[in-house]
Amino acid sequence: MEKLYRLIEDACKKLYVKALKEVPRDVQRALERAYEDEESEIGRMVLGTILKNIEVAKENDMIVCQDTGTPVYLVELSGEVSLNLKKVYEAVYRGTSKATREFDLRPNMLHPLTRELRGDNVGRRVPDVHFEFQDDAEWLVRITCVPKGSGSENQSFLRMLTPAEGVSGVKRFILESIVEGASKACPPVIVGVGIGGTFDECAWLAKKAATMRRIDIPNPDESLQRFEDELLNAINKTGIGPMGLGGKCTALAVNVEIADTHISQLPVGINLQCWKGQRSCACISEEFEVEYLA
Amino acid sequence: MEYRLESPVSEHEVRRLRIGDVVYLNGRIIGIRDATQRRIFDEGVDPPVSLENYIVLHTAPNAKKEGGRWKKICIGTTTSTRMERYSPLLIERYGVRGIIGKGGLLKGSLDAMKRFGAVYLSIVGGAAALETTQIEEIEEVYWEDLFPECLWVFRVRDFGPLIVSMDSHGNSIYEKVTSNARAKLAEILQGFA
Repeated sequence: MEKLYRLIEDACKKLYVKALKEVPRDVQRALERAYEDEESEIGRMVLGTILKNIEVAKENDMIVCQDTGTPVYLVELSGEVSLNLKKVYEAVYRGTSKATREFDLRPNMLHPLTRELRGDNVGRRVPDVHFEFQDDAEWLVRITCVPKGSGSENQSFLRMLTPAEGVSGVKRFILESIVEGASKACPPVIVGVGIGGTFDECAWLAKKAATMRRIDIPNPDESLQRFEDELLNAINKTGIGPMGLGGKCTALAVNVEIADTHISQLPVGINLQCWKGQRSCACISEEFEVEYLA
Repeated sequence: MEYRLESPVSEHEVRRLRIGDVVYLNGRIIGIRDATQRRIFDEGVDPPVSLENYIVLHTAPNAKKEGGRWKKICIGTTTSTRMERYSPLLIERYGVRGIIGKGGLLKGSLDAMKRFGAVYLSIVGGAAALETTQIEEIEEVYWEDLFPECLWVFRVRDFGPLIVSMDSHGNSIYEKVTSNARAKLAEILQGFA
């Protein structure tokens, strides 16, 4: 089992850098489609520059965007593995710190009030690590890493709606938030929406929806899929466009995650992800083999 | 229109620019960010170099000091809107002619741009790898204690494309796009009902 903690540490280190250097395949395809569809001249110039930048990063082995983000990890455990979660957390922590130091990643994380910088992107409650569990998985452990950029993170919204506001209230809140924030979040954005749960749970669901889900796989829940399509369509009618300079493509996708909630609550969280959609993922098999996903 | 400008620039050159124009820059530009401007405006410390007629960039680079020289790793641009509070003063008090950023600035800055002759240039946010290749060198670094939010002097070549999104004639693409989006929002919400 000690070996597994070392594998997790090593994977977290690699995943942090990989997420910064590569754009996920599904996001790349969506950007290429947006470039073809865009009608605004400035919008096309912006999307063309975005695609060129991804190439330049690849050719020069550079990170795509300068913001090395807040390190966020989702560690999923299958029913077949028993691990000490404290040791897992420590492995993620060490992996993040090593990646920052070895690859000279920009240190971002600091004390919120004194603004004192620690220097290796770990610290008090950082990295942000979430644990979830999955039955019938083909892996023992799956790790997703998202270095979350501040430009998009600063455009997050949460409201405790009343049940009386209903579905139309949810849609209104989402669209108003987009009009307020999308232009500052490096659009075309991926819109993550969390509905239900509690104050904190709907925020986490929004983050997970914005950053950790592939955008080329339809929501398995058909009614949610229709809801996502309707919202995406509406958002792309606002004309905010690439980098907020006007155009057709404001969002690449809308992802919605839900949790059951209390009879007198209707919490809605919105988290945006910038066009880069930075995300990397690795699975550790029963044979302790690590596979990195594209 | 497409322009190639050499920074520092004159008021005349800046006044020619209109929203929608595209600019590529050569010469020297100055990198500043939140902490740099907190020092200038909240702590009242004058910048260690003159900013007059310069174009500034909202940035906090990935960079490394090796043998006394700063080496670029990845230099990109941050959201400007957070720094709205400082921007009119930067133009009025220190004679800055242009601000490069993303996300735009607000009414106070637009007014100062009109009064004193300055523009806001939008870069493609997140396109930092490309931006880094257009920065030839980090020439000087001041206030290293604020790393990565120091005051940086960069030498750039064909730096762009930069879109003139706020000009010195009171026009802002952001203002237009947002007011159009608000108008459309009412329409869209009606469609939902």
